[in-house]
Amino acid sequence: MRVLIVDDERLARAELRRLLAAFPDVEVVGEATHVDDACRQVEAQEPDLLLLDIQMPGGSGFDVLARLDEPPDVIFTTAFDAHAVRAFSVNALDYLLKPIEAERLAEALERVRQRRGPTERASEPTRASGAPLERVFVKEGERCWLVQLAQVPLITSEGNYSRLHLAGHQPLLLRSLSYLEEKLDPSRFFRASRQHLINLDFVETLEPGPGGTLVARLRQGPEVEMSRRQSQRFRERMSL
Amino acid sequence: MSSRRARVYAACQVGGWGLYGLINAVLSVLSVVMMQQPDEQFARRMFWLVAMSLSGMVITHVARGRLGFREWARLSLSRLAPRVLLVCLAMGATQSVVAHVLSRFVFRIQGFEDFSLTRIIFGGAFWSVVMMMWLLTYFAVHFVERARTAEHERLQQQIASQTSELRFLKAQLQPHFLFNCLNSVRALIVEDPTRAQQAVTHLSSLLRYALASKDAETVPLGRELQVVRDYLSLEAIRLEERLRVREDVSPEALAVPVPAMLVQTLVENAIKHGIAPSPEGGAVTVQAHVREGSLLLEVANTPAPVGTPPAPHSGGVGLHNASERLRLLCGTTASLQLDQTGSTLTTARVRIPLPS
Repeated sequence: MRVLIVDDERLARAELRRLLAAFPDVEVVGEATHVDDACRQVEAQEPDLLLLDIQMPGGSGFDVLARLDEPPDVIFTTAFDAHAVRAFSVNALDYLLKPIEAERLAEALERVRQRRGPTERASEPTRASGAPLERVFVKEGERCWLVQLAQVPLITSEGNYSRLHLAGHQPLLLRSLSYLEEKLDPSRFFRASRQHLINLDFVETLEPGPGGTLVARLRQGPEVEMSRRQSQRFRERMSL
Repeated sequence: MSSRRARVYAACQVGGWGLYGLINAVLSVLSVVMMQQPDEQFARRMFWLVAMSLSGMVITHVARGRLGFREWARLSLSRLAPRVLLVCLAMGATQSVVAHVLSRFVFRIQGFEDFSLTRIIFGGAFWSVVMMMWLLTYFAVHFVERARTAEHERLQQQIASQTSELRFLKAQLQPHFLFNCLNSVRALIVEDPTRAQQAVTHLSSLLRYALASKDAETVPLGRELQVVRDYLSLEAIRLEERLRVREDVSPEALAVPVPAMLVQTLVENAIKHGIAPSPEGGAVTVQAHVREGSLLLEVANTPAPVGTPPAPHSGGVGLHNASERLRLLCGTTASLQLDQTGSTLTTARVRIPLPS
């Protein structure tokens, strides 16, 4: 497992290195000291796991995740922060309290291993570059989620950003719809129009709309009218 | 407060003298009824009574303004009593003369045609008693008001000290700071045992001071600065080369009493908003000098770079509490201001008048 340590305090980083030395399958591939640095190093090193401090210069650990294209697994570290604990109560992100207890770290690492599955070879990037984007972090105020994109029925364009339409909440993602279309799995997501990117797994019915267009009704979602050109494309794709 | 005072005063004046006039009027009416004989002077007497009430109101009002009764309320009873006695005699005499002049020359009431010394003296004595009642009422209201204000102040101080005592363990030594500290110390044990030992010493000293300092008390600035140095050494372990500290304190400032934890709060704020959010860190400067009978205390920090997200949990609560405690412990002439106008420095300025 390739790990990147993100913390603005040198001694805190040293402490983590010391603790991680007890795990033979863990390799520390770098240390970052603030948000920009962390984002740069994730892009460069492609670690499997981030050990991420919450309070840092230049923003918080959440900001790091919200800026990453394809975030690796994350374990947050924090001294004590009611704020952070609140943020975690809404999702299943793991966090460790400083000073970190070795047993708790071992448990958290074990959970990461379980998620990654047994076939993974240690010390190799999990994701071949070019593979489709599978999950993103979204941040709304104090809360932050890890969203599996396969679970999102519809993504709409909002200027330079995109909105994920999930049951219950519609978080904003700091990426353009065109960017997402490029990164997402093309066999699952289809650009229905300039405004809409639909998840084909969620399409319940297709009806003819005005002027030769198609209207897709989505499970757990609204009806989306495809543009004329995209309707044509869709028909071609389906007939194949 | 003052407008409420003015309203209370006006109500007392009008009510008191009105009541006096009314009682007299009722007595006059009763006497006429009891005597069962017509009194052609009745209307004149009535007018005279109204005029006397008005004149009493004017005399007491002018005396209050001229002699500054409000200030007298602060005097001790032994110094207040002779003054009250003198003033009520003077006011009584004045009112008595007015009564005589009005009854004789203005309303021409029978029985007052000729001047009589005994009448003046008796009248003076009678009116002095009335004025005495006026003064007693006036000061009684003031004493009650002052007692209430003092009680209110005391309660406020109690509340402020309780909240800051709570905030103190919750915020001034934030758990965040404390646990980060312990984490650094744990790392130092391996890296530099001597420094780890020093850090534990600093932390003990800081905790002892924090736990022992009653919030409603002042300490000499020198003592406060010792603890601030403990705190800064701990922050220096955490922030390392990102924190640079400069201290400029004149020797005569060291003995001046300041609220416990005041400088610590200011320094903590400076680090939280100026140093910690900046990757390169910055400088904190603590200055204390005595000028023009006041202690001038300044804690300045280089601001975080523009565009840096602000530190979380900042509502200026710490500063607000510090300035409240400063006001309660060092009087209303003490002040705390945060000056963020400078592009290169954010400065918290405290002025505390030297205790006389």
